Amino acid sequence: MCPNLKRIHIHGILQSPVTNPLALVIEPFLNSCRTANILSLAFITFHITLVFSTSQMDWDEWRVLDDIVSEASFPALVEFNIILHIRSGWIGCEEEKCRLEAVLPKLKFRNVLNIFLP
Amino acid sequence: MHPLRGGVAQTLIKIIGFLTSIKSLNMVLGSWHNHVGVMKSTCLNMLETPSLGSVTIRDGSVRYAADITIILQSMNQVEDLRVKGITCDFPTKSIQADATSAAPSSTFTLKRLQLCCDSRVNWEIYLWLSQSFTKITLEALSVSGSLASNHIRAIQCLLKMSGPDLQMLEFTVNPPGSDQCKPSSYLTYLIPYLRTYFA
Repeated sequence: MCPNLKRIHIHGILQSPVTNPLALVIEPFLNSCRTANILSLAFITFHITLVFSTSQMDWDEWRVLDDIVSEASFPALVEFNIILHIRSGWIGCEEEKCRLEAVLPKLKFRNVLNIFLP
Repeated sequence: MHPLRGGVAQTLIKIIGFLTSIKSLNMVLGSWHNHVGVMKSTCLNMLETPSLGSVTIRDGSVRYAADITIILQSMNQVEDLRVKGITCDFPTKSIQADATSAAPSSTFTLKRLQLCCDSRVNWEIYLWLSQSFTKITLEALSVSGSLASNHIRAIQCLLKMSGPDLQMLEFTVNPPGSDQCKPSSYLTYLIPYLRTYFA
């Protein structure tokens, strides 16, 4: 149906103590792409806004992305971008970025993972 | 379209359009059905400017489905179209009736379509758009704004319409500036349709 689809951008994703966009949005969306066998997909970008006060993020469940976005499912993948928008006044941004990278080792090994803190 | 009067506006816009070879146009539509005939023809002439590649249609209303067809079929050269804040008053029945008789433009060159809407916008205009032009081969589709059930139907039609040339998909899950910590319902509703589209 879409043999030439190269880019997918999803904006406006909220991550908060009461919102889990991984299960609601990101995982099913990527699974849809994988099931559809979109071999041309080269650029995937998620813009995520982190909304929380003091509690740290639990990135462990994000490990599932490492398996979904495998080389077999997305052979043409060049960039897997996660853009983290963190509200002002919140400290520890770089630490969170490192923790997220740590749960996505396969993507990092393929040299396609980019995590941005704009 | 600025509410200038009659022949003066038509002459001015023709001169500006054809002498400067404009490449983009930002058109505030207003109440299309209330404009006098000469203003409509001036507007359509502007859209037919050969150099025009990018058009934004925003803030307006359309009462008759056929008017949308006329507007869109004037954009034979346009590759980028952005639709924002446009409402339509006609009932769905008239959309369906007119869609069957509408002649798709064989030279329609639209490649990139950006749809923005808020809760005030009736997305049947986008449904109409997708039904009017069956030969559009979009390369990029961007959808943002709030969501209603008929919006999903419109997106589904647009995805089907876009065909095999589609290279870029862009969706905004929550409206910009939204601070609500609620589940991202936008894609929750959309994903089943995307599955159908991708399959």
